[in-house]
Amino acid sequence: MRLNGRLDIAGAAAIDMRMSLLAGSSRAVAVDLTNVSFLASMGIRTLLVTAKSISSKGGKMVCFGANHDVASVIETSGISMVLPLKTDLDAAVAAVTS
Amino acid sequence: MLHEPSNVRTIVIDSRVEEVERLSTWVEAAASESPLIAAHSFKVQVCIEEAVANLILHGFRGEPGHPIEVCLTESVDELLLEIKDRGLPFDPRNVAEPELLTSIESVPIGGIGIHLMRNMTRSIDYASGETGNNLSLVFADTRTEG
Repeated sequence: MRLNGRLDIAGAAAIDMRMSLLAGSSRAVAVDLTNVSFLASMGIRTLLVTAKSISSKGGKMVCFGANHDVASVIETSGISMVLPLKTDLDAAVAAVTS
Repeated sequence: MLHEPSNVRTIVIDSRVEEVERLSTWVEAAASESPLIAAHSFKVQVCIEEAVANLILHGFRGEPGHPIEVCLTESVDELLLEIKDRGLPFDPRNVAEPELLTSIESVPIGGIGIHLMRNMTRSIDYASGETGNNLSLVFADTRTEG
């Protein structure tokens, strides 16, 4: 799953449905944040809801490719403990398929 | 302590979700004119988003038509962000820190915004009275630290 743009209050609302459908149909998900320019708690909420849904079905979700600022939000929020952030696609795929 | 204000920037938006991105554009424009704002630009944008999103969704219960004033005040080595409104009062200082996350199943959905604000600022202050609510966030100038 590749996300683009701002994961703010408006951006999160715009992808909620897509992420919900993804959670309902997938067990191993790598979310590409390379082109996400901004992340705040509403975007984190969307990622967490999706990851929890996938996890409840025995699957796993990780994120990768975040720029410095977006990565700092993920680290500061503390969610990287439960929603791993990987540097690239290969590491993300390895994490969800292990 | 804040020194004598040398530069103040103010913007007023309406209490609508579509307005929030305009605040980031405003901060980025200010950052292009000020090294101090540029040093804190992303954190300021995150904190504005958190505070204003909370105001729109809870302070005004999703109702448009209410002004939200955002001010950035530069001093010698600190940046003051103020968010002023007349919505329902909410003091973020009263919210408990979230517990350490240990598993995806136990993650609470919510409360992360205030956690981010606390960890991205030097200090948070809040006042509420007849003239409305005023949330104040101070960002320290990292260029003078360490």
